Amino acid sequence: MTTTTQTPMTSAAIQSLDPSAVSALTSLKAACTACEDADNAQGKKGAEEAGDMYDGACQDDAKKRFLTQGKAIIDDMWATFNALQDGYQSSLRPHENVGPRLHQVYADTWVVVGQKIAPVIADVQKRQQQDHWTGAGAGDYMKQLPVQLAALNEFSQYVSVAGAGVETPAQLQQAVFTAFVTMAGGTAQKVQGYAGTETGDRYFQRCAWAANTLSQCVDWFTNNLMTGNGTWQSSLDDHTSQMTSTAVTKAAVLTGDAWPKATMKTDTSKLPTGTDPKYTTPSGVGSVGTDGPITDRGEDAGVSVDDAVPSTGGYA
Amino acid sequence: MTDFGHEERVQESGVVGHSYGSDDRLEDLDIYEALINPHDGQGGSQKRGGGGAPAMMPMGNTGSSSKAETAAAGTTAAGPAKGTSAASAGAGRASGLSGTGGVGVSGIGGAGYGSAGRGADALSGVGGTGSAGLGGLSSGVGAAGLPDPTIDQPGTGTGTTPGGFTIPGVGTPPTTTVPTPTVPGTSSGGIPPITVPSAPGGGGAGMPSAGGAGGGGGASACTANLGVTMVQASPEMLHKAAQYWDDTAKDFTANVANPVGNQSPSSVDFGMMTDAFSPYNDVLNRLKKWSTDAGSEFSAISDTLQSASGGYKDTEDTNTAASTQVATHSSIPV
Repeated sequence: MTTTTQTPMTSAAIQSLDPSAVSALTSLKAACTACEDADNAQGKKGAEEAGDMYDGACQDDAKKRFLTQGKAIIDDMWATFNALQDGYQSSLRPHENVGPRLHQVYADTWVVVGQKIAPVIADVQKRQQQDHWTGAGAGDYMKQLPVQLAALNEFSQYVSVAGAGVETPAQLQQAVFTAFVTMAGGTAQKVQGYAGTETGDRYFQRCAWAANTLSQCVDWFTNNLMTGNGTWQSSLDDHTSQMTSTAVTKAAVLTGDAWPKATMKTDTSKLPTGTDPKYTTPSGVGSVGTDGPITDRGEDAGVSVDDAVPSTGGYA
Repeated sequence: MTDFGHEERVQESGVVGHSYGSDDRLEDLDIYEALINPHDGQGGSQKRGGGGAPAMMPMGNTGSSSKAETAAAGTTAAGPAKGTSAASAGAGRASGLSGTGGVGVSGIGGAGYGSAGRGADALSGVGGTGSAGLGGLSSGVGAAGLPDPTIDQPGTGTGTTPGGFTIPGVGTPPTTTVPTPTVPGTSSGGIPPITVPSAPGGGGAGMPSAGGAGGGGGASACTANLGVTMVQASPEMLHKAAQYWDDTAKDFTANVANPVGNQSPSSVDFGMMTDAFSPYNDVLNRLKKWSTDAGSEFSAISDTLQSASGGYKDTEDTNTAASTQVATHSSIPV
């Protein structure tokens, strides 16, 4: 009988990505602040320019309208940022240790158990070669060995399944964090880039871009990353589908959820000869962590001096 | 010594009968074995019930290719006194071990001058005649495939086979008229001489039962006719195998069953992946049961092997003791 054990493989340790997520959010906040500072600095000049377009009391009104429109853009940016940060704090951060803990179960239990079973399987396989005992009783005993070997092999397969039962969710949960960190970090870089962009005669443009980008991030975080839609749910569905497939639910040797007890009537010729894996890691697990929103600056044009004209209204 | 380290015993040169510690060591124990499977509902003894005390000794039918007959021959040759003893010793083992001991009983003759794996014809019942009544160990010589001194060294003096066994210095002719046993207690007396044909592989099958010679066989049928097959077993190796399974059971419990049994996850542990909890928990619960059952099953295998090992060992010890008694009381001239 061919024996192929499926020992869960040791993988790199998983650690909480909360520090990375917090760091990414901090960077994003700093980038937003940079945009705000740049826009405010530029906005002062715009306000003066708007005031210069009017005389008397209208000058102050024009300045206020200009700055009010700019402040609305900045507030919108921060509101969006806070929505993203609060979403992380309340929805995702509580699961920061899920991945590490599930992975720890995988590494400390299933990998170790798999490693302990492997030599037992090898020994039983080797014992099939014994020739110091012959006769009916020996034949009976020797009939036990392939049954026990087949049972151990299938048990080993189920150990692998159990390992995948925690490792795949661990990887997926971790991938959610990775995706968030990637998204937040990438957005921070983008927003930081906005802060350094010369916007010409468009004011508060940087914060408008940042708000637009952050809004897309919040939508993606809320509707995709936290629900799994378009991200990890399909991989999880694939995982659960395999975990509940007949290959798993219907044991070939360990039938009736009982360890086999070979008898004289046992037909060893019907023992499974193959070791087809009962579980294959879903292909999408590795790519979930790279998921993220495709953001752009949007079409918002910020505020211009002309927007300070009372009759034309303003941004807000 | 065999490859597996158990002793081989054969009668020493110049000694009629067996003496403990020197000449009854066999390569293989010709004893019926217990069925090792603890789950075989019929039980070995029921299946091998006929192995209690085969009575007939089809002289000349002790070829290596017919171990069963060899054993039967030895048993058959057993005289009333010793033969009964040996047989009963074996029979004692039969309980629960499917005739473990019942078999294995054989006449000394088979061992002493037996054809040792050769044609029965050559074997001449010399030994069988003289020391009838000893059990168990002798026929194993034949099974071990020892060379037949009457063939390889006809008429020679004491010699040693390539295997290191001492060959009796008796110039046993190919065709032998078995003299009336003179060993007290090994024969009921008045046994007519038995002429063993010299044709290789000859008369064994058609030979009259030696039960008359032994007188104590009891059973009327040859073991071969009972369908009993000869076995080869090493109690030491069986003991080691039992120990292996015992160790495996303990290790499996410590390294597999306990770690698996200690797992008690909840859906909260799966965070956002709660859908994965239920199928994992199902597999986990099955693994918990399997791992516990596996440890129990390995222990059961160990226990059965240990029992069988002990059974074989007891039979060997019994037969060794019986041979010692015969050697002490033997009066057959060398």
